Amino acid sequence: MRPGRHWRKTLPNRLYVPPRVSIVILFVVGLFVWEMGSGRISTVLLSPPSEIASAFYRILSGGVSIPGGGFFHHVEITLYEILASYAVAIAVGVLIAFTMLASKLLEDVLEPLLYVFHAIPTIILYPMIYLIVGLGSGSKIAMGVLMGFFPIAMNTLAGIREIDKLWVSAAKCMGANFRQVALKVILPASAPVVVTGLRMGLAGCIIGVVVAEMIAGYAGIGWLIDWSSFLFQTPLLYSFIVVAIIIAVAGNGLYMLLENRFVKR
Amino acid sequence: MNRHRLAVHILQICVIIFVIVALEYSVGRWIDPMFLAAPSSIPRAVAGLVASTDFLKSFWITTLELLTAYGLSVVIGIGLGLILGWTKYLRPVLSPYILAIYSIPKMVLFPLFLLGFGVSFNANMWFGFFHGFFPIVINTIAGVRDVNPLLINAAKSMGASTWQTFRKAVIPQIVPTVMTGLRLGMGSTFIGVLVAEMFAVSEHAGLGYLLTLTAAQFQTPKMYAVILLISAVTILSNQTLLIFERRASRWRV
Repeated sequence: MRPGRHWRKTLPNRLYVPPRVSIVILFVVGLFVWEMGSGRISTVLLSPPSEIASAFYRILSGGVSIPGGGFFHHVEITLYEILASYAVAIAVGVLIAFTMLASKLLEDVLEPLLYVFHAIPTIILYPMIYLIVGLGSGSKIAMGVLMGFFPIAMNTLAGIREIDKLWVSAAKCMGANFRQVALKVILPASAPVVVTGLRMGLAGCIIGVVVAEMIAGYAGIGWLIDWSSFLFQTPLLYSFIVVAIIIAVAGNGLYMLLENRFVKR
Repeated sequence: MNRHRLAVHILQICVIIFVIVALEYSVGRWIDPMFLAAPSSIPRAVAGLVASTDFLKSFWITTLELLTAYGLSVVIGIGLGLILGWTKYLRPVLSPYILAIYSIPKMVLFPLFLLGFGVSFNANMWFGFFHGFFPIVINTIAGVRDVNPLLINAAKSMGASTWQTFRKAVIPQIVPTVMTGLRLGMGSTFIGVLVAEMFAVSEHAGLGYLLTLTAAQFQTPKMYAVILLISAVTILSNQTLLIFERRASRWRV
């Protein structure tokens, strides 16, 4: 017997609100309380949604003077850093995965070392990176790689390792060559796990780049967040945070679409 | 198999030694020692660091923040997780919000904590809580949701009392997933507290601050000593919780 069934029966049917509707109601009530409540608390701390929306509009229409070449220039820099770090993270991750697939010995040697390395909060390595690489884009890209390569490596490894060996030998029996086995068996069979790794890796790259910009840098969305909070421009701060979240959610959503469209589970 | 394990361990030690030797060799030749400390200078730096009072103070602050944040995330996370896991109505309403907040990059929200609490213990602590809470609550919800009713019915039909059913059939099913949450939550709390401290610019603000301070002052060996010590502590806590996690799910085989 599932709990919660009894009181549901005692409730008149017309009072029952399905959970999906409650989610929306909760969201609207939350926004309303936020809008009404932010006047009572300090507006420096909690800007009302209406003010954030108007700040957002001013940023997009160029009504806010932002040092270092305007809002879209900073977005461009961040996107460039994310894409560059993602490309490197994929290359490094796949290389590590293939190294470990090549020999059981290497896998047993490297896997525990990688897991131990992964237990370290990567962000503490950032001061080391910016001392070596400098405060420009390079240090952000390096930070993104460090945060993004691990899930890519591990999921590529797991995805290919867990393939049923029978499928490979069946394809070989039927006369498939190496290329056919790779494209027709290994690629589709490992895709669900590998694509999840790629998605998590992208999330890691985005976090790494933005946080690196926030801690030490002079450009990008992370720097804008830091800049606006330093000046107590709270509506701007909220808008930039929303932009950073939109970038992360868009990256995630893109992969979700890809997974639903192309990956057969 | 035994020889394989031996080879693995030897190779692992070789990898570590190779990294150390490569660093030692390249520092001073290709890399300025101002930016990358030679491994040979690290033990001395660690010894000096551990003896210094500002380190002890920072360590104490970070430990206090970490433990408070983790304690709060454990209590609130497990409590809320149990409630949401068991109630049929609240779970589908609230868990989308929890998952949504979990999936955004939480670190960009730190300035809000800074505005709310100022540069303080509370900002760092609550930011740590904000990181550690989500893995714990999500895993607890999953653990409670996936309890197999068949095992409960089996225990009951064999004449177990309510307490016995709870103790022997419900708890062992929930604990492994919760333990995974506790381990992930520990790591996340660490990240939250340290990132918060790296932002905070104030006297004696914990290890994260000590890190950015030593980096800014180009006290490179000291910075590496801090990095090494934090790494050691996090790896140790992760491995310890991993042992508990494996022990908790041993009954499943």
